[in-house]
Amino acid sequence: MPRERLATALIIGLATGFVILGALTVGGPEEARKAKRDDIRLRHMAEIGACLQQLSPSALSAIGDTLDAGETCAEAAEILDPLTAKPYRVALSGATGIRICAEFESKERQGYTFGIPEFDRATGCASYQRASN
Amino acid sequence: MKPADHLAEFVGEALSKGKTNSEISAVLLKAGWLETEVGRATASWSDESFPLPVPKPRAIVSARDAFLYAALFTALAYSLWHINRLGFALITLWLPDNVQSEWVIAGSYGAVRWAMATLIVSVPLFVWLNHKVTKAIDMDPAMKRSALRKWFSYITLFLALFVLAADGVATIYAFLSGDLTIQFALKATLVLITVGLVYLYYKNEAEAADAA
Repeated sequence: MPRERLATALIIGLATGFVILGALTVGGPEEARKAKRDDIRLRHMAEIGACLQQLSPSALSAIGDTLDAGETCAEAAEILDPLTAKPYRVALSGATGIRICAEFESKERQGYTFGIPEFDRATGCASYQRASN
Repeated sequence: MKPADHLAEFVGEALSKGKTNSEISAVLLKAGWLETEVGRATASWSDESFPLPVPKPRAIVSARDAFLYAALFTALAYSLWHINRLGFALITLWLPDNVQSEWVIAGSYGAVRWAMATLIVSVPLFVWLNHKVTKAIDMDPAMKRSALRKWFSYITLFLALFVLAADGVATIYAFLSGDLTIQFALKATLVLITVGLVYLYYKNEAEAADAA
């Protein structure tokens, strides 16, 4: 086989192999949509977390399991999941700990977390520490 | 008119007046032309005995060649660039480095999709153009003398050499900076492989163009 043909065959092989591996690694269009929605969730959680961190202990303890429209922080951030339109879950842990959780669709995906200090992909929860007074 | 053309024309005229190659060479060297220049000018004419000097085939330049070779060169360059881009992004995702920022990892997903999209278009385009050029040369072997073919071959080999040198520098720099990880070594190897493919593809082309 002439060198030029061999090179052409190798280029085709390498490109095809990488495209298949790429599709297996990042998934198809449905996976990309899931990842986009997950990014939106992370951004919402970061906004909610940044707001809740600033609340006083009494204001924080008045918040239930979810943020409802009209409540503190509900106007400073999006409080509903982009797919299910359900509110994100909020839980307090200890005197200063805040957890905000959502249902993530692509749990394996790594990437940017919008400045959330601690994020657990497996549980879908972001952890914050309330700023001290 | 370029000096080389001017010289070749002079040689043709001298031959038509019955002067021999050695006489012409002697007078040109005396006039200050270099031996290589004189050699190239006399080599443009055949030694065949005929009432008029017989020109040897010369490199041709046509707009069609320019289109074909520029398109082929671009499709190949795009394909190889995105093979590397895709390989780099996959290596980043498969073997994440703990000193790498979240941005780099997040960006790798987009880089994989973009490179896949580019390869799905550029590789078939490269294959089609390559087939078209090969077929055109088979039908008209004079195309082998295309000056553009030679130029594109040598430009590509030059770029490949440049990338190879840059790859070497980056590897040494990574070693000195403590970044010579498996991830980096795999990326450097991928660059080396693609440079090898360019060499394999164009070395033949350049040699064939030189011989024609």
